[in-house]
Amino acid sequence: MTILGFVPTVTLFVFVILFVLERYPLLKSILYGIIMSGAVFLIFRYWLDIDLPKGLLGL
Amino acid sequence: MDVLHNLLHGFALALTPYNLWMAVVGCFFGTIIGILPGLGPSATIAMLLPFTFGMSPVPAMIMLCAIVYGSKYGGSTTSILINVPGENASVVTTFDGYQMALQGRAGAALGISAIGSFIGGVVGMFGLIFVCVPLVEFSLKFGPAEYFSLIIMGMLTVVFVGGKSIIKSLMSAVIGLGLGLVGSDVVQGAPRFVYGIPELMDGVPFIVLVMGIFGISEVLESAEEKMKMDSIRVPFNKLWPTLSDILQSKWAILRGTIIGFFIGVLPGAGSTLSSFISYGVEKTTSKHPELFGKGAIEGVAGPETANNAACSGEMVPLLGLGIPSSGSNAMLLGGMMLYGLRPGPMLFKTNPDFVWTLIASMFIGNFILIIMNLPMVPLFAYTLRLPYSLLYPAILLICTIGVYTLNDHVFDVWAMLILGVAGYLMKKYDIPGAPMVIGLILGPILEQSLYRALSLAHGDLTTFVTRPISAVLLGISLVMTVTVLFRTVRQVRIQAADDSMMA
Repeated sequence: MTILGFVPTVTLFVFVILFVLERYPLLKSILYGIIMSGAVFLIFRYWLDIDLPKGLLGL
Repeated sequence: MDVLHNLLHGFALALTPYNLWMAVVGCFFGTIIGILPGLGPSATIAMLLPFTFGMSPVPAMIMLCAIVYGSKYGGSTTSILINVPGENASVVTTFDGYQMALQGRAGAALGISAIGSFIGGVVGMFGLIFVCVPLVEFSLKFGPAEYFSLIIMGMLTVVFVGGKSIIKSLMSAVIGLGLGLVGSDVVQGAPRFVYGIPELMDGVPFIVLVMGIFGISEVLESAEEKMKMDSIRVPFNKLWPTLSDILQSKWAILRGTIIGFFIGVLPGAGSTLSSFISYGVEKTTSKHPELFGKGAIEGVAGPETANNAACSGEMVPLLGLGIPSSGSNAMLLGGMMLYGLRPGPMLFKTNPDFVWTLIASMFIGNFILIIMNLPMVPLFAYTLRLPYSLLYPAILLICTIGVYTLNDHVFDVWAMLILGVAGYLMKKYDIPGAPMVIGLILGPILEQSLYRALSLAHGDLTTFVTRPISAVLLGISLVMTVTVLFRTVRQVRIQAADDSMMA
């Protein structure tokens, strides 16, 4: 997590669950991954003021 | 007068805008959690606990308690609309609730369930006050020996009544007690069972354990089942039961309230057992038992009332003695302890504002829930359309972030995931998680009480039987154990006789 950072890890995690386990279409899986990580990042980082781990990309 | 004065003061504090808002938030989330199959109140409290650390104890506990009783309201919705209970206490509601829905009477079933839950919840709160206050006065006489015996009795009751198998419940409780030993020794402060892992010096973190055992395991189990939910639509204008429905249900609601409250007071029995007993009583006392299972409104009204009244009853041992009687109450106890509050008789003396505000907020919460539930059930039912495949990654993320934010340690996240897999396996093998959590919470208190009692008695073990209250509590524990052993041996013998007859 400290290498990749929170946002890319969550995007990847949701993508893998939806695409590999739940057999969602590729584009839909990527889209949900981005939406979910973005939503979680905004809620926890800006609303609840929780310092989430950053990776090499600064995300 | 003292009780009335304290209660009114509690209402004044509970009605402050922030506390009221927390009750509304808790009721809303509780209802949603109750509606969503596969996510129980224990898991939700476990998930939300880390995020309440920034709040003061009163609003945080108001919200967490509202989640517990809100989930009982919401649990009936899925039972009636899709024949899938939202939580364990609503299993019975599927028997007649879903049949009513199939007959086009879903609105009446949902309405009578909300009305019954409201009456059960509010009357149960009066019961809580009337039973809890004398109980607290009595338990102020307790010393360490009495606490030791009380915890033994409470844990045995949870083990004997809580799960499907006594051996599995006992196993879970012993593992919990064992986990409670990890950390620092209560007497000398020396490290114990930490195996050189510095993160274990403060013991197995309660939140990490409950998030794993309740949160992650429930998600894994639900994801495996791949739930497909197809809800019966309920129009907004057909939510109220008719006058004849209400009149037909009045005795079921009354009986459900009494049964629910008194079953709820017993440690380990809880709302699930109360709803089953209420259903059985309604069927036995009905003039038309043949209608049960085919859409009898009493079969919805009684159990739904009972499970909410039990929710109030469960607060008696929790607030009065500090003994949780169910998984969700163990979460509440753990939450209070994280805030530095120790439920039990002294809490009424040291933090009366906290206790009475919490009790008052539960009265208010029941009003919020009936206002929220009756007109908004169709809206809540929309959440059933949310695919679980999108919901469970979100729940896993919330759990992970919640655990990580506790100490900013990735160790906690790994521990949660490992415990989650352990919890999933426990579910697969029908090993209940609640005795483990109760063991983890009560284990250190049990050890401290044992140490203090023996110190006061200069190491004399007979102190536990020479002190009258302690002796009575241990006597009850012994009678329970002997009864259960006798019953088990008899069942084994009958089974063996049946097997030899078959052979």
